[in-house]
Amino acid sequence: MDLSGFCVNDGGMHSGCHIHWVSGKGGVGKSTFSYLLAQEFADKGERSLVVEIGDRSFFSYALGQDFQYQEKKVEENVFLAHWHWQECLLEYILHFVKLPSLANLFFSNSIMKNITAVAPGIAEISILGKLTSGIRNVGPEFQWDHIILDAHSTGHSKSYLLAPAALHDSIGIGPLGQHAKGIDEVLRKQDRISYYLVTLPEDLPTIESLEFQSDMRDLMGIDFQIILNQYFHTSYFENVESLAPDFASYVKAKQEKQEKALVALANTGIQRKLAFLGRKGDYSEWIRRLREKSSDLVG
Amino acid sequence: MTWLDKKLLVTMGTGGVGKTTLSAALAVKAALAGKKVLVMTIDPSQRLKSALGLTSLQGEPVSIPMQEAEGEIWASLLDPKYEFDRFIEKNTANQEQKNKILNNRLYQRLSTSLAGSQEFTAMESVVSRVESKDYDLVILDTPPATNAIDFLRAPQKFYSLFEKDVMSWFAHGSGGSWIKRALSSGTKKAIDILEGLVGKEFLGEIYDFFDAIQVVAPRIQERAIAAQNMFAHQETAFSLVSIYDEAKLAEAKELYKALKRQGYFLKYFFINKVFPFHNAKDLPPLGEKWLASFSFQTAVGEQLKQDFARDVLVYEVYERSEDISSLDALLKLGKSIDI
Repeated sequence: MDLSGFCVNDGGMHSGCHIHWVSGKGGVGKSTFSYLLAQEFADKGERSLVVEIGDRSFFSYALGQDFQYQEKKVEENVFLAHWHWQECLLEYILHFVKLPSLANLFFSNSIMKNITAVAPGIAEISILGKLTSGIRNVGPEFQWDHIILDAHSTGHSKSYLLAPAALHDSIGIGPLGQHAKGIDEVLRKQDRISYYLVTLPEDLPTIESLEFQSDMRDLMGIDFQIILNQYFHTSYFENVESLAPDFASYVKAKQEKQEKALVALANTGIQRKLAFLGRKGDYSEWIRRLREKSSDLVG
Repeated sequence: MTWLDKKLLVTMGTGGVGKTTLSAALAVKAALAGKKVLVMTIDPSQRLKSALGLTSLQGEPVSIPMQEAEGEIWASLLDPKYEFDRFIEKNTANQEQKNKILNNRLYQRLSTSLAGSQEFTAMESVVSRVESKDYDLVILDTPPATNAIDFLRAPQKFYSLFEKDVMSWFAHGSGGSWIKRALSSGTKKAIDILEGLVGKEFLGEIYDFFDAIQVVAPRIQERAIAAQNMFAHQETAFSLVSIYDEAKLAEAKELYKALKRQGYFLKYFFINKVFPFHNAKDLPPLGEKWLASFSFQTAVGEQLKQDFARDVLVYEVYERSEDISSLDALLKLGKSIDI
């Protein structure tokens, strides 16, 4: 069977889609920033899909509903989905073999399960193939102005981003190799994909973010823009002297950490700051408050 | 039995909660109590590495000099590729078998990316350290898995890649002709699809991989079972690290239940980075502004202790101002944990 037809441009119907890749260490606020972006686009009347990958769905917890492969609308123009690579691969294969029964046969075959589990890069290619299909104009009609990928931790992001080129290098020509090459090209198109790296105003996350940023610049020519989350407004540090001594030293330590982080980030620049705001109540409302509270913060 | 009488302490938790640092602090604490302790970690930050004096990239434990301690601290960095190679070297009968695997192109690329392989090699390494009885206590800082229970299932999952029917299917083919062997029509069709997808050559490489690795498949199964047994043993305790964050606490509860279902003992629950000021009335107005941001923790803290109280010990670990970048800072952190 020849799969190459899948990779051919089938018309420029949906070329406007922009991808936003959000990465960062665990617990820094990737999901928060992903949702915030979607909400901002939604307010401009643009349709966004926020995609989670990986085993667990944070939004299923935060929004109290189950998110799966099929996207769900959560507010006007904001949609959420949770993708597993197997489902992405199934969709890819279905597009190619046309017959659901044949595609299911492929997936229910135990030997096939093992081969796909062993074949390196299959998971990455499956997810990235679906993610970039709108830009590559392949596959089913794409209906989004923005796809926001709430990506893995930095280490995982790296292996995902490098996978297509590695796969292309190791299997070269052939349908999957070509497919991988097409995906790799899209990943490097910075007019079609924006890369964000969420970090915190503390030494350690900052240093690690800078390392990752420079790594990805060297390896792929990709520029991750820094999003500084949980930023303390200066008002937090006013009148420190009047505080109880041990609390004052706690606040001062916070302040020092933040200032150190700002110095460390001075060269590379901060694209955006998000204010420190304890999490409370309805998620969507909380994101709106966070945007409000961050509105006077410049990058 | 206290935590110091255990042979293996497994630390779990999602990313960003300070799991690795806490594991190291517990190791310091155990050494202070006179134990010879080994802490094994996969991906520590640069700072922690230098705090522990871990410079080598490979997995052999290094001793960390600590004057105050009666016991000894050892630390090792689990490098999945190194551990997997070591496993192959130990479990192949001869040079030819060994080289056939180590030189396999697919093996070189996927020994660290195979489903479950990182976890398998991490566990294999831990299990053999515990079995060696070289240490009184081994502390394993689990890899930053998104779902910690997957970590425990990983060896089985990894082994299932090499189950008999799959291996025998691959075992007797030869080069490019194996696809054309008599197969069920379902498998034939599936293979056709896959061939269309990845091309003949790549499929051939996958075959070569299975062909090479089959000699160690039985050993992989054996060790996967040994790992499962050790992790369910009563001399093994699990500890969970979390922070006061709704989503992370919800994950922690799920993990607690899942561990229980699987027959593992979750014994210690550390809530890390706790805001160190509880009492709003002791703080001036600005303090309250800070406290409001943390008010969540006092509300859920009590509930949480109730939820876990029956068989899990809950410890709050206060947030510290200083960076943990020296052994001394680890020592202070360790001393602050009242376990």
